[in-house]
Amino acid sequence: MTTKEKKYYLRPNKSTVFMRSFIPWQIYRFIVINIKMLKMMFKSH
Amino acid sequence: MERKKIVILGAGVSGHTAALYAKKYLKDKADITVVSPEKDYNWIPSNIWVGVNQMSESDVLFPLLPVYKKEEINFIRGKGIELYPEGTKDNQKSFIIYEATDEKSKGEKNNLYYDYLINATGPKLNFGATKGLGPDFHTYSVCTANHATHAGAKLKSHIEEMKKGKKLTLVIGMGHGTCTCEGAAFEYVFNVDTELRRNNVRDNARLIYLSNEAELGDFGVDGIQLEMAGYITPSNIMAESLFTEQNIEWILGAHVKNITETQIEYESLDGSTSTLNYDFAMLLPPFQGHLLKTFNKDGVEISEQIFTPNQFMKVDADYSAKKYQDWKASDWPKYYQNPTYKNLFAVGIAFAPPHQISEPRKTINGTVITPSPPRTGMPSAIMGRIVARNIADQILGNNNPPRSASMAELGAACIASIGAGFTKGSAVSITMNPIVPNFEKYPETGRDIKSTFGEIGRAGHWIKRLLHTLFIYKAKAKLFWWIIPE
Repeated sequence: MTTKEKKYYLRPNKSTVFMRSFIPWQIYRFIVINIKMLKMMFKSH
Repeated sequence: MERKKIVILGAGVSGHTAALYAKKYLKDKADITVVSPEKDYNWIPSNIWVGVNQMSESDVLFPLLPVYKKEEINFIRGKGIELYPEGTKDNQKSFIIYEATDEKSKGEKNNLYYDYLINATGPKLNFGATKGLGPDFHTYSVCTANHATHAGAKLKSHIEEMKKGKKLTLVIGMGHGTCTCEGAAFEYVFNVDTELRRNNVRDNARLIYLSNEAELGDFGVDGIQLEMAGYITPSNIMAESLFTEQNIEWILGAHVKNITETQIEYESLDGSTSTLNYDFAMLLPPFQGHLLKTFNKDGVEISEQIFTPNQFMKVDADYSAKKYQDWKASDWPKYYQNPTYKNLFAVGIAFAPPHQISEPRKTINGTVITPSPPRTGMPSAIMGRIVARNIADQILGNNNPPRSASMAELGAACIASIGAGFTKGSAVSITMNPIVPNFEKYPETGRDIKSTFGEIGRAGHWIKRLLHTLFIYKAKAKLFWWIIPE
């Protein structure tokens, strides 16, 4: 895809890409997402 | 009192879950028999990692027999071929005829009587629907562990070629206009992308996602509206962003018609036909049900009353033809019980959905290009448990109202891997509630926005890896297995 074509799509900035693999933040997100998923699972049971 | 006989056809996610829970609820009050052509259980969601050589077959397979022996569940290696829900004139007891698939008695046919039958036969991989599709012809698949191993081996040899400077085109997606499980192809394309980057050959690969979805991120559930960064964002925005970021091209609304050794021919939603040259293709097949030829007690075939034309079993859904605008949550089955024979149930892929979830689309030539509804993983396991619970209540004489597991009420948590590895992996974590949009209950978005979200990050990969371990632990019926939710 050319740079011109890319302009039509949402793209993450450097800080978003960094946070996706920043271990302390990801450990926190691991806990948050697990809680969200558990809530969903218990709703569905 | 004579012990009731429960027969379960299939030992995939839904059938195996139903068998374990039926035993847990009923203990020695019923004889439970599982009939499956396969000797192993396959944790299918992890097959994509086998397909990129990050796991081996032994990581996703384990033998069923020791588990069933421990749980005192009968296990027959075989496949159901005929169904007699009324029995015969002489013996009006319901039974099936199965054909043995084990080495010793392969091909032998036997009767198996039942009081309750759960059809959990899963999909028949219909590679024949598209000329040239499948491991017997020109493309690869990750539908079984064995298929995934072959895909992984071919990918590895292509990576070696690319290391020598060869430029290749890799196509991943759906092999027919009516395929389902777009999520698996989505995961595989990103895992291949990660593998190519890990091997420093990404620049030598043109990576293309070819799908029957009208929009990226449709996933066969008509897309998802997610809460992201303070906005209610359609899933296509999230998916397009991810594909753009990783430089993966996409072709949408495609019905693959013909595949040769070097070329894929497909029809697009606008009715035009195009071709695409490729070097490696992993294209999923459409699914069909496993037909059990059904007869009444007079020996007259009544398969059409019990199965839809694509061989899925009819249950308590509303199958009347309706326009997309008139689809309702109440169209979807709650109890997975056949309306004619109340001791007959179908769960997972085996039940006939009332219609698609995604908006149906046809080309001007009349070709249907619409994802079929996904009904695997979490909802499939929940259906298995709920049906086992309802049957157990009937046998135990409990007067509880039957429990419901409608996909228009159930939520689902999906972790779509976009790369393996503890320190390199990543995934898209998505929850949606309910799976089938319910616009009567949630007029704005069809789903509860508070419990429908999406997020990309390494945490998602850790969760997917954790779930792999937990669900295999549960499927092996180890200590306190039932604490782990489906």
